[in-house]
Amino acid sequence: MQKYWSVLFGAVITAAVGLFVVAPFMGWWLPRNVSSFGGDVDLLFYLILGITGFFFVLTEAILVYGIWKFSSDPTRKATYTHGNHKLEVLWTIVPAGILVMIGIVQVRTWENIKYQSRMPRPGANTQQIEVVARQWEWRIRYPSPKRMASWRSDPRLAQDFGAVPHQDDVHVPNELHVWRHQKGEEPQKVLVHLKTRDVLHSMKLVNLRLMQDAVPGKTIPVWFMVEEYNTSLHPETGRWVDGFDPKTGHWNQKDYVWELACAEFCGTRHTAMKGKLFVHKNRDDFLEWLKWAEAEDHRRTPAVPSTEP
Amino acid sequence: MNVLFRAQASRQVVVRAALMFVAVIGLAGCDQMMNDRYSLDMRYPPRSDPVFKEATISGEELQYPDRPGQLPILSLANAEDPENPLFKPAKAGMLLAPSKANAEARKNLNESLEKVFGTPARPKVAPDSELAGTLQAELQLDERTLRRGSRLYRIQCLHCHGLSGDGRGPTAFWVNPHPRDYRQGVFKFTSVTLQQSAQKPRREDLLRTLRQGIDGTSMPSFGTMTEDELQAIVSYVIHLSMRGEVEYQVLVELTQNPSLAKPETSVDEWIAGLARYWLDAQKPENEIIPEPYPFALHPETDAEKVAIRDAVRRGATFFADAQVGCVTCHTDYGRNAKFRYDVWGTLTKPADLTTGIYRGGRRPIDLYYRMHSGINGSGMAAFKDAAVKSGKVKSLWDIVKFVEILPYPAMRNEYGIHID
Ligand code: HEC
Ligand code: HEC
Ligand SMILES: [Cu+2]
Repeated sequence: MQKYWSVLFGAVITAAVGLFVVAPFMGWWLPRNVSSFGGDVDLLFYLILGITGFFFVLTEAILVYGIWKFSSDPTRKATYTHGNHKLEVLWTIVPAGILVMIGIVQVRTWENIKYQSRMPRPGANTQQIEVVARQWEWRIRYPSPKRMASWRSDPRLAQDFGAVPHQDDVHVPNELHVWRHQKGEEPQKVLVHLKTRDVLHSMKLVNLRLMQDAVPGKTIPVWFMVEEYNTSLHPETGRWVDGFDPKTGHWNQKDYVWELACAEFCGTRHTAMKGKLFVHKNRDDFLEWLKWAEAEDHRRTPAVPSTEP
Repeated sequence: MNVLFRAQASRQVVVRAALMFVAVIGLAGCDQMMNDRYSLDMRYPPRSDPVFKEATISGEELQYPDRPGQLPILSLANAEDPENPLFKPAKAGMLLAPSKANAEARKNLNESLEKVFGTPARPKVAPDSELAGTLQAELQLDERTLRRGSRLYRIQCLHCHGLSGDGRGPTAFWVNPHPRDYRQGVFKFTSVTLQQSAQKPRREDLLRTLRQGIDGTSMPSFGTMTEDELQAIVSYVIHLSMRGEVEYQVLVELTQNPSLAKPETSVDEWIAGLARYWLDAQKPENEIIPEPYPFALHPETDAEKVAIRDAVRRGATFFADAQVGCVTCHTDYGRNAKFRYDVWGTLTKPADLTTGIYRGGRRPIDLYYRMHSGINGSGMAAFKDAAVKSGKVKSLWDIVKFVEILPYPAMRNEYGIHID
């Protein structure tokens, strides 16, 4: 009787593995990667998934086999391996070796994404944005078009963006707008100055394979470079809208709505702490939007924004 | 050990595990399907927290800050208790407990409210008069919109603003300032020229609040929701506010006179009165229309810079005027201001103007509205007449410009304003 437990275990393992196999075809797999380093992160993910998956299946298979084979005979005596040095050394060294290997393999990706020495420098060509997390939203500050233009004429002026807000800066809550990097161009990197006004938060952009905690009292630099875009001027509403698939020209594409989520539990509304990533086709399109956002954020006449282009 | 593995026991374990599995999956599924719907037999709870005899008690200065977890001090049942450190003889009798009203009358009130305003799952604004059509058309209070608004409100707002819009959702106790209690019918950030008592927000004002959030408070931005959704939520907020204010006004009558079995002015009459306020606020002729903005956005020429410098100086003079100016409340540019009661019985503080954080929005037009009509319920005065009459400024824009540069040391230097 008891050996039929092994059937249950075996079924669970098979179902789990089966789920992995069908997931990518059902749209349950990783969301679209659009950043320059996302591919490296995914590669590491697959490597680790492969290793852990292999050992998972191996150990479970042994377990199932063991139950099936030995449990039906209650008189059979168990053999103990406790104190068997050879075995213990083996199962310490093999996992340790694998861990070290993973550690070595990942270091270049980590360095590329997280080392401050690899971050883009503030300057004429770096997009700079300040993202301030607070319970429960993202307050985002952009340089005004004029401030950005001044960086082009004198890159040194770009140094103080993260520390010194200007009166003419542009504030847009929950909307992270950047422009795309096109292959073959000079790199169009984004430098985010990440802060929090209250507790710990974490900026998570799954489509960029990027995550960084925001720590009270600190300004943490984060960089990325996006290689696809999802935002364009909507011909009907006259607004910049995401969910645009440039290949087909269709709107409302789920695959092209990219979330900016909080990934560190920060209070009751943590789950609602969501913004969006808007990637423009190029710098010019971004600047058009920025001009529109500036006019809104510095509005001096009453007007219903929704009817205004 | 052996006992555990007896077939009997193991069967129990399997059954239990299976039940648990089903329960977890089932609950998760339910949540997905049900979480934006109220059950049909849910009712708006009758108001049980104290009501103020007079709508306005604001203005009194106070050093004692309220904290999260102590939702409106004055509303705590024991605020009338002489043992309470906050008790002041002048405040005795200011609060009235709804439970003191005639029970029969309260039941009637509840029934008539439900007849007009429906239930959380089926909200409506259907007074028994020709007004219903006007309201539904001009304030977008038709049942379809309200139903949609109610579902969205349930997901996004309820946990702060509460089921009946009482500002006492589960999160409310832990955030300071506390979420708005819509039931007083008072909203802080409006662009309407009308008298304070009649000053309801325009739909655009509520939309702006939703799009931008209220910076410096826990109220977040909902700007990534669609236009339709935001419009539906705004309609529902108006519904809750009307319902709450009718209830509030009738309860004031009933609690002041506990033997009263029937309020003198009926629910329908109150709705007619309040509906007028709401409708008036939406009329284009009652919107604040500022003079044209007199400055350059990015001053380039000397003339433009001088114009701004002069305006900033005029604004600074008015700000510092000891009689009518802003320092009377915003002590040391608000860095040293005192707490005061607002009309919700919570505490507020004249804003610290050196932080650059504005609850009602940071656009020049928002600041103009604040200068023009003040901030309802908080005690911030309206300056639409006083400022220009004083002869110190040419228009409210002078003060706006001064307020705008205050948080930026570089600009203060540029325009010769010294605050330290
Ligand atoms: C995390 C809590 C929280 C959530 C969620 C929240 N609010 Fe608020 N809300 C507040 C607080 C706090 C205030 C009061 C700020 C103040 O007093 O200055 C407020 C104020 C308001 C006001 C009054 C503005 C005025 O002019 O006086 C409105 C209207 C409002 N909220 C609507 C909403 C709606 C609609 C939603 C859901 C879409 C919502 N809020 C979600 C916390 C919240
Ligand atoms: C009677 C007291 C009083 C006077 C006089 C007063 N204020 Fe205020 N002010 C307040 C209070 C109280 C608040 C905070 C309101 C709230 O959010 O609860 C405030 C808030 C503000 C804000 C922040 C608005 C926002 O959106 O957050 C500004 C700006 C401001 N005041 C400017 C001024 C200026 C400029 C003057 C003079 C022209 C002035 N105030 C006069 C009491 C006053
Ligand atoms: Cu968070």
